[in-house]
Amino acid sequence: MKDRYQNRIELLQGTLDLLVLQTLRWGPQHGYGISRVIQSQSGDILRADTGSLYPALHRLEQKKWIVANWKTSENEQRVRVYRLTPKGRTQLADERSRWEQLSCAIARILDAPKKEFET
Amino acid sequence: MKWPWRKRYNELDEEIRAHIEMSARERQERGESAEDARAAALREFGNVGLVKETTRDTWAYASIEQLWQDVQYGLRMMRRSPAFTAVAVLTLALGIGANTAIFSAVNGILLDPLPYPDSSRLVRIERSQIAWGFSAAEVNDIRQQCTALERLAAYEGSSALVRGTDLADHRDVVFVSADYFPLLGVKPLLGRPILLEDTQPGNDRVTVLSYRLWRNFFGDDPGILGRTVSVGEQRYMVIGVMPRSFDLGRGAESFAGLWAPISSTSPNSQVRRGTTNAMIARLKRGVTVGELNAQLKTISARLAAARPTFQNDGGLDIITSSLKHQVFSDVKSALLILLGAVGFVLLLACVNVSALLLSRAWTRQREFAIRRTLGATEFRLARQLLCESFLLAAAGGALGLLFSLWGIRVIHLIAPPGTPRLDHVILDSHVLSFTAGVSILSAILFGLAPALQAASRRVGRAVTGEFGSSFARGVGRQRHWLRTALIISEVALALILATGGALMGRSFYKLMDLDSGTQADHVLTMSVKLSDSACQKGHDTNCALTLRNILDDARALPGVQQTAASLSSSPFDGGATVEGIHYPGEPLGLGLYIDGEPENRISNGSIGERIVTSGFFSALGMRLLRGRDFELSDLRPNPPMKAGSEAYCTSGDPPVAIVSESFARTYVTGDPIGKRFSTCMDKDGASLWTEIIGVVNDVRDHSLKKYAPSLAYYVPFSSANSWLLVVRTSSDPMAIAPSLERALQSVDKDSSITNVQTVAQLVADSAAEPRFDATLLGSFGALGLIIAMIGIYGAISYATAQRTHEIGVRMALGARRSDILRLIVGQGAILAIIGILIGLAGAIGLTRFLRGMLFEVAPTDPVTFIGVAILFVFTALLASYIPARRAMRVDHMVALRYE
Repeated sequence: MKDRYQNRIELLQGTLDLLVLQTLRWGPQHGYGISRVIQSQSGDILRADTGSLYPALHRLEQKKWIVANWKTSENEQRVRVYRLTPKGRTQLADERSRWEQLSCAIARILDAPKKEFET
Repeated sequence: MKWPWRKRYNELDEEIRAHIEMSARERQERGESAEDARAAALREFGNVGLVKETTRDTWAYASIEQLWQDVQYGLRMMRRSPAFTAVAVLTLALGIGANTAIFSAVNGILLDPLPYPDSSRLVRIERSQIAWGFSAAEVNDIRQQCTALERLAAYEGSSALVRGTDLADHRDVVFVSADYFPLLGVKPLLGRPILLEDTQPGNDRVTVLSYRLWRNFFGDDPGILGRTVSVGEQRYMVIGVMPRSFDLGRGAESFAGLWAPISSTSPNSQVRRGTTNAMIARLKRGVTVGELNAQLKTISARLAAARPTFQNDGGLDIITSSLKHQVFSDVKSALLILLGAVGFVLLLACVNVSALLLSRAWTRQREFAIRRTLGATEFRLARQLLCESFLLAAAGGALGLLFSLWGIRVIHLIAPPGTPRLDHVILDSHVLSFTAGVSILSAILFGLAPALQAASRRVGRAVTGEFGSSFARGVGRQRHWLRTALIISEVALALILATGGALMGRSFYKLMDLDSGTQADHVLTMSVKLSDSACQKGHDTNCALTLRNILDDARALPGVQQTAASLSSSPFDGGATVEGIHYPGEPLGLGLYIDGEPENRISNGSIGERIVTSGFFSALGMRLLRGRDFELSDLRPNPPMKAGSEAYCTSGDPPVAIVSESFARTYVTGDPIGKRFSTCMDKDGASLWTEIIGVVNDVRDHSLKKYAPSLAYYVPFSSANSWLLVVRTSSDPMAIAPSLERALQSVDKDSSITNVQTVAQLVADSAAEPRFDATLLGSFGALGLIIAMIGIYGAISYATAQRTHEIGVRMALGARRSDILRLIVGQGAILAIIGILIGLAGAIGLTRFLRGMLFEVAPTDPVTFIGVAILFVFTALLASYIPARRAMRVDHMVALRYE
């Protein structure tokens, strides 16, 4: 069973918030849906662990970046659906640019010629 | 019980259930069997419980929920060790209750401001020698010249029999100038205040009643305005009633029964002459009392220059004091000392509970260790313990509040009569918040050290490592050190408290042992007012006859040994006081001059003048040391008053007098019998002489606390329409009262009797203040002793329990039981002795604050100090003897197997 997770990558602390917000950009979604989207859009590499996803959803809700409503799905299933708030939208833009700066910086360090580090 | 978050719990359950179902449905759609799909979905989801818990942690009220758990857990712990809980809660309740009670007194008496607007600007202006007073001209001079003052009012207090519909009794009557009420700034509840036109002769028989007098004498009658009230010999029309808030205690400006205007036809001779004892004034905004004093000094010097005979006399010095200080200075120091002492009690209680908690933490090691292994953080553990401390403090505070209700009742019962604003001493919102604050503070005080220590990682690891056989010594020693320090400081604190209480008690018993100069038991006094038909003014022979008949008839009653009369409201009341020198030829002198003695013989004394009938001394059990008692021939009727002469003589011109022992010793050289002195003079300035015919022993007057050999002389009187009847009985004096009243009524059926009381009660009243202080400080001391005893007992029990193994080894090796006893009791004794030594040092430093309250006992009285120290040693021995006995009985085989 462990093998199945071997080629998956542990999510960096804090990045899950960004991914959740990004997922909700395309419309309201329930917890299961969000985990499915993260899994499929990352090409099955990333996986939102439920032990992290649900605390993250409730935390974001607490911060009023997302709001939750109960809706009934086509299978007569009552589901809790999360939606991005205007505040969350701004937050997403912020986090996104911060992430881009971070990954850019990391990439620069990784791509730098070895010599420069030695001097 | 989780009502506030139950809905969210259910919603989270449903959310997670939906997640799993959707996941399972998807798998089913991909072709898996229903069972497999569900199992896979569950597997994929992970630990449902853990997900729920971590999610719940993000909720805003997660910490409240945890707190609730802590509270529930704490309550369970309290229930599980009821003995510990009872001791801790009781200790705290005693401390908090005592503090609440004393604070309610401080709050009611000291913290509430005077009921006058802007009362900090009010000052009282007096002469250093009250008898000099201020003439109307002087009052005017000061009013005009003193720019520091916004307003100035003169007043003069006296006392008179006031008759109401329900009651007749002596009450304070204050004659006031028209500025008085506007200056204090309080409007009457009914009617109007005293105005300028009321001070004109002819309009001046009007009065404003205090709320208390209105209520007690007239039963709140709303139609009181316009009715007349009999005050002494006069009748006054009621023009106003002051509000309840205007009533302060005795010694305060507005305690008066009623107020009347100052005028030249007032019944009070001082006022009639235009002289008043005191003024109150309102300072201009921003002016200090110091600036006022400087101005008054200049004015006073000018006044003195205009009256050359007053120079060289301290009587002209003007004293100013803030009104607030004046009213409360007496009670203030006593209350602050009590507040300090009671703070010590609380500190002691906290130290005690802290030591108890530390001891108990040892028995809870395993519990903490388990909780830590289960993932509890240090913070969570410390919070848990603090929460338990808060629960203890809350229980202690609640019980303490109950105790304080009882304590406040005791304060009301034993407070000295005349304590200002005693009816303000109640449990109000200030006191309640004080109690809450004190409870929280004490929880932090006693709970912090045990919480931090129990939560510290060292302990936790020590426990998880090797709990049981050889408990981590290092940690044990550290904790032991802290607890030892707590016990020692507890003993020291308790010793300081007990020393203070013992000093007060010793001082009080010295006061009680003091010879009052009289035999107070079996003496009854009552104020008698004869009717107009029996004693009319100007018919002195009639009055004298009535008085003599009453005294004779009363003396003939069974059970009555002696009867006498006195012109004062109580036998110990000095009556009029004569102060300073009386210079022959000086018309305004109110003083005393002894024939043949140097004139400067009496300069600053205060001499009581008591007007009595024969038999007064034997009725009160006083001893006639020399000479003779008054006789009928001395009791000649007062000569008709010459116009103007009564201004200078308080009692006409008594031909003979009996002086007190100290009077004779202080002022008269040689044999006093046959010597003459003078207190007044006739219109032409010639001295009227009084001959000394006897000497009696000194009596203590006014109050026990201010005991000084009383300088007094007694002069006889024969007729008056109201006087104090003094009766010595052979049995219970109160039982005689009805037959006395009947005897009185048979002589004068319209006479009135008020103020029936025993002299024993009067003496007890005068001792009320030292008794109050001694009782409270004494009980705080006793409380401290008990708490310290509990502390020592707890510490020794705990230490002995820890050493059970060691004791078993010792006994197995041949130690006798007496050795074990010595070992354990010795341990307690060492703790106690260190604590006692520290406490003695602290007591020497602190008891000097009691100096003002002690009578003939030094603040470092060695007898008290040694006595208290010995008491503490015995207490400590007793407290450690009980656990030592238990240890002695230990079966050493059991003890060896103990671990």
